[in-house]
Amino acid sequence: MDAALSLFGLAQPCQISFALDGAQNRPYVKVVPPNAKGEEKQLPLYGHRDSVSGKVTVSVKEGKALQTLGVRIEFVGTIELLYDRDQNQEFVSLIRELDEPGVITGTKQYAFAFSDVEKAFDTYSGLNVQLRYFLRVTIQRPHTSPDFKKEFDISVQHTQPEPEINNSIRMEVGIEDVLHIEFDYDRSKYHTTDVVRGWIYFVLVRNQSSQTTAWDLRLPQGKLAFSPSNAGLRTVICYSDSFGKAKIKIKRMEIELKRKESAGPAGTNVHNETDTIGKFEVMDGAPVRSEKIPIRLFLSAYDSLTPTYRSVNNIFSVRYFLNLVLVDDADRRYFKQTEITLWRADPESIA
Amino acid sequence: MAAGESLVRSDAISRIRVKRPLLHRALDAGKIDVGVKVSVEIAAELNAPKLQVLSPKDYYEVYLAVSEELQIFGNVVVASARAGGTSVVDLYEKVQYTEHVTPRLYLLITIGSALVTTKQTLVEEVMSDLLTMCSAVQNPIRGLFLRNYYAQCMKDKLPDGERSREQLERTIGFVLENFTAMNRLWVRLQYDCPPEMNKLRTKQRRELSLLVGSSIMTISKLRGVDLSLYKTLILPQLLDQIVSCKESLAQEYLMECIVQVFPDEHHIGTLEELLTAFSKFEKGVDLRLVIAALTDRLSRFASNSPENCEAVRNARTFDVFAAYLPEVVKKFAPFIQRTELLRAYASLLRLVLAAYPDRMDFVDQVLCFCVTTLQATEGSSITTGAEDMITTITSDEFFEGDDGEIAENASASTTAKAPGSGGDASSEAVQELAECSAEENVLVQVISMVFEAHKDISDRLKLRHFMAFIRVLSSPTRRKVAAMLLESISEYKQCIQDETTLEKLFVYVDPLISDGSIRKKQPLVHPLLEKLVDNGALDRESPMTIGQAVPREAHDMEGPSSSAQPSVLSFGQTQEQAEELEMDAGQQQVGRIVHLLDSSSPERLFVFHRMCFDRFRKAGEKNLRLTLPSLVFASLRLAFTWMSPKALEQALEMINCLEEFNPEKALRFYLETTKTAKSIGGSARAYILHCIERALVVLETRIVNSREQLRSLTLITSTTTAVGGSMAAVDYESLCQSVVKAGSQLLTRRDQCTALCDATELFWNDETGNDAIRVVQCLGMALDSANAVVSGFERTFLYCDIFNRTTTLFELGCNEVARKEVGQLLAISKNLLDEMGPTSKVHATRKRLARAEKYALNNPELCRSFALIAPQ
Amino acid sequence: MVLVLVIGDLFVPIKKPGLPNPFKQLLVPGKISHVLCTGNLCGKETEEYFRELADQVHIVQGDMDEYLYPERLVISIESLKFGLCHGHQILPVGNRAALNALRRDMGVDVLLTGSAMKIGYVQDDLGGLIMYPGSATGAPKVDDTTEPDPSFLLIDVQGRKIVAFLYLLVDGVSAIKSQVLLQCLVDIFFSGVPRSLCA
Repeated sequence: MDAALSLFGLAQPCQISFALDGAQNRPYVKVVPPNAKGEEKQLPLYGHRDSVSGKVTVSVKEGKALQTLGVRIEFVGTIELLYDRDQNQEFVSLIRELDEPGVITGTKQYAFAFSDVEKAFDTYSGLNVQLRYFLRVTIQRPHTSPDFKKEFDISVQHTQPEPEINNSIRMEVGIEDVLHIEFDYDRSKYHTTDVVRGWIYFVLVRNQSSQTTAWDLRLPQGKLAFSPSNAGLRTVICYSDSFGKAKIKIKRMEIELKRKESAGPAGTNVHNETDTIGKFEVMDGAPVRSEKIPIRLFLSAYDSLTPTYRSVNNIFSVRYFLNLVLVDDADRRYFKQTEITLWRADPESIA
Repeated sequence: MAAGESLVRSDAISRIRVKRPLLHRALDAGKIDVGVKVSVEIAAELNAPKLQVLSPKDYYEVYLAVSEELQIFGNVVVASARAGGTSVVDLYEKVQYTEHVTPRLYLLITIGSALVTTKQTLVEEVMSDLLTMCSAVQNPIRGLFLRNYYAQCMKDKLPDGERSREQLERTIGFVLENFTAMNRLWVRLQYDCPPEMNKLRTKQRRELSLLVGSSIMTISKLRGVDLSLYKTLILPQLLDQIVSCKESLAQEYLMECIVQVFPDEHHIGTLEELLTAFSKFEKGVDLRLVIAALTDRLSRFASNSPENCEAVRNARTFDVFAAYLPEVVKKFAPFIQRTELLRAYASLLRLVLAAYPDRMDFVDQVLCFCVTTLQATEGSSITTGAEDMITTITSDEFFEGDDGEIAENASASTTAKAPGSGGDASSEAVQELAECSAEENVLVQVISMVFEAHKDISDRLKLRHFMAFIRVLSSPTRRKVAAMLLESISEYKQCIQDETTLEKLFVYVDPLISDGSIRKKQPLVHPLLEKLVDNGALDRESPMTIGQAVPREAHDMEGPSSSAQPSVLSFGQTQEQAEELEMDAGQQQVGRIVHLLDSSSPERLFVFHRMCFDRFRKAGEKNLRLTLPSLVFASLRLAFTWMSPKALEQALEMINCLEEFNPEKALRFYLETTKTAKSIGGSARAYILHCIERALVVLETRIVNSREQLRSLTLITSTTTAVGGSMAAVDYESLCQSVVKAGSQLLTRRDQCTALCDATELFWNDETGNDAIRVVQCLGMALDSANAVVSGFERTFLYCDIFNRTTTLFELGCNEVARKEVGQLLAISKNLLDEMGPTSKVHATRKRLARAEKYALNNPELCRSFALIAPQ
Repeated sequence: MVLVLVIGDLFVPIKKPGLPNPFKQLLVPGKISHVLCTGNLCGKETEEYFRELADQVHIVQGDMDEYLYPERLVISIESLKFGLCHGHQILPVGNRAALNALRRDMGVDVLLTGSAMKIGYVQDDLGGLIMYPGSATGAPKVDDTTEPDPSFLLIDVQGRKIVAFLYLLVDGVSAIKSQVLLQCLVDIFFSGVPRSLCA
């Protein structure tokens, strides 16, 4: 874009570039917007209190002089609600003046450093909300001339210790007299490159009874067929079937990995958005009684996983769910959604 | 439909082929990641919803195409790993990211296999992990093929007994686990379809059976699997799965697999387990098939070597079968046709015969099982249709009640009888089977096998259940079996050494001996001959076929040639005659009993003969026609070897009895008796004259067929000559007169001529001396008879006969016969022939005359006596 | 090459229970092209057995047979004519002159005959042959003091050449003795001038 503008002579008369200290040695994080719009970016990664320092270079075109009211750099952390820019929130904003008002010619370089700056949250890029950290250089212009600005994003991730309490998730769900399954995820908390392991055990499947011939399961499509258990104990639901023996012919079973993002400051309209990060088929065909189907889901297969965020600055939260879905012959789906907590482990500690 | 299916299949295969170069390019460039991606796409073909229409066979083709590509991929991974380029462990994780389960697992198995190839230590972990993951595919077809792929990939990598026993056991565990899962899927395939598809499904499942069975094969090929491991670990699990799957096709097939793939020694060591499993099978299982599979296997094994046979016997194989099989049969009786139950026992019998050639008691026990089975299943309602209905109405007592009635009437009246209403038949628990019913055929097969194996009649007489066994058969079959008891003895050893045994034999073959009641009256002329005559095969009017040479040339040109006669015989045979013949054959078997008698003691043999005679006579005199001749001859031999007039008398008593039913044979035996009597000498000499006189009486009173009369007379003539020296001259003279008289009184001139020519024998022989005058006299009478024949053609024949006879007599030294008149017969004959047309018969006769003349011309003395003139 | 089985006087089952087993094992279907039987089978079963052995089966009437068969037969094999007659009807029984006369009368090269229970062959001065197969079951005559050895003949005919093998069962049941009975070119001149015979 800069290049295009310069063709028309409207381009900024100067160019601003960043060079962060130790950039070569830093890990980079691929940031993928969840809706797949926009570009994939590789951003240098900073930890919670890492200093952000480096050099800013301002180059004015040969033979031109740029009059300024000063040059400054900011370190900003924002939460941006994409549906309503007005409600953007800057939770961090630090400013460093780099230059006095004056005239800049040629190339000028400024060193900067934001030492020990608190970066409380992880960078996040969601459907309705973004949490960004960036450096912004502003060359202030006199009078009505617009300032020259340039932003440079960095990413921030926090690693967490392994949770001390990490129970397995175990549930028994079903449709009375038709289907009764137990499932078992080995843990409730996973780090983001973890493997979800578990079992699905078919306690009862009525799929080949000779008593009736019709595959007649009187359930409205999409309606919740499994209900959550109380405290992991057995709850069997509950669509009693007035036609007597109902049957189900399962075609396959899959696990969906879902992310639910809630955005909006407390007290305002909260925007909820759920997207399916991945579908993973765990069973093909119709099981019979007492079959035990293994689950092994590699979370590392999904790039865009973040830890679970319960409430970031009271503005947004991101939660993850495993949704066990059974699809029957008529493509009806029966599902049971279970929340899992994701956390980010120190890569060193899980290797 | 089928066309659509093949289209789906070929589409899938061509999609796979299209991706092949992509895969190869990626692999050549070392882009394993791309390789994974393409491989997943290839494997995904096996998951395509479209493929659901495919039959297992078509699916198999797609499977082959996929596995071919995956193997290539796997090999490249191995090569790359060995070169240090690829971490197979990472790859093992990476392929698990694949979204769909079927392609994911194909990839996982491929990589897992590569992993094991590169890092042998991991083999158990990988095998176990793959096995666990495979249960994610619950679709029967896809699951079966996936697990087959697993089994194929792992087959050559299984750790076996070379490492350690524990590891071998774990390996077996893996294979068994996979087998169990496959079997469950295979069975589920059956239940997984609407009822109307059942048959098709069964057929498709049969096509898939090999996939399941190959696991059993794999186990059997593991090194280090010994009997104890088989008995304690492998078989119990296999049987548990087979029994608990509760599905007949699986039980049938897998049991057969077990029987076929494991060594015989293992089966011998685990018979009880196997038979116990049989008893738990589902009702649809073809019980006979599985039992036969086992017994046939053991039979073959036992017949291979004496050591094997010993092994079978040491394991008390028969005892185990005897302990379990009846229970199994009993359990299956309500569901299976009786025939099949019986066949199961037939299989057992085969084993007994192969492994226990000396145990007649075991054979006997099998016969008992058969009878018990029939008793137990009788009247049960498992009838499969008409076949069983007939069984129930043909009750035993019916035949007994209708004494002498012909069987045809039976079927009509019995239909009215309710099954089982036969009153006092209740004492007889088993009803008679219908003739040629399936059950009966099996029983006949059973007893044939026994007879085939035990040729010795003394062995056969050890069968205590034989009587009970044949009692269930229909009466014609009972007869047949009784005949077989005698018939198939290849060597007639003289095995009957005491009266009890003989009595016992009589009991055993009683159906054959006693069945005289429904025999029809025996025609005097053999039915076949009648047929022959009717068909013109034997032309009684033509002298050519009776007592005369049949020149080949003549025969070829007209009428059926003599060699064609037998075909006329079988062609003209009616059902009735066939039965008659069969019955005759049976009776001849009875006659064979004579050859079983121990001949070492003449006294005892004498008694035996008496017993036989009494028994045969009691049984029905009509059969004596066939049963008696052997006995008569044996008695005559006994009289001769023992030099006993007493025995001779007994023989005569028999012959006397035979007169009525078989006069031709009686006549011949009278003649034989004269020879015996002559040899015995002493008081026996009195019988010589008596017997020839008896023969003449029989000829006169009982033999009506003219051809037979002539034949008999010829025999009387030659016998009289032979024994003539042993009687008073006056007796001989009177006999000669009788014979000549009988000759001249024969029905036709032609026969008279022949008989009188023969009679010259009486007067020109070494025994009684020569009397040329009487010879000439006889010839003169013969010539008179010939002259009286109307047909010129026939006359030429007789002239030639006389000429030939004269020539012979001349050569024998009777010069007086050679007279000019005889010589002229040739010329007369030639003239007669000249008057007839040039038929082939005439031509042949002319040749015959020429031969006779030529011979005479060659002998100057004869030539002179006959006044023949040699042609220039 | 044509193999001809000459067999007769079995008397099954009157005198003997059956053909000896060693013979049965020897005589298998497919090798023999003609069976010429001199009679006295006495039972249908023996005929059936012969019919299994060969396509061409010719049987004549013996004195103890039911009457089923012709008295005499002439069979041409290769370039030879074989005459078949049991012989009991030819008086004096077993007499060579009488049999020679019969051979001449039938116009055959080789006369096959039973009845006399001789085993072997004779050649008349015209070069004609009379052959005796003996009794295949070893059936004795009623006044024989010993039982004869079971025997039969196998004749290999080629053109006018014959090689005859005699099979004898000696020692009761097991040992079969086979010997070349004669090997000659049958060359008959009815003119009466005997030709030299190649032995």
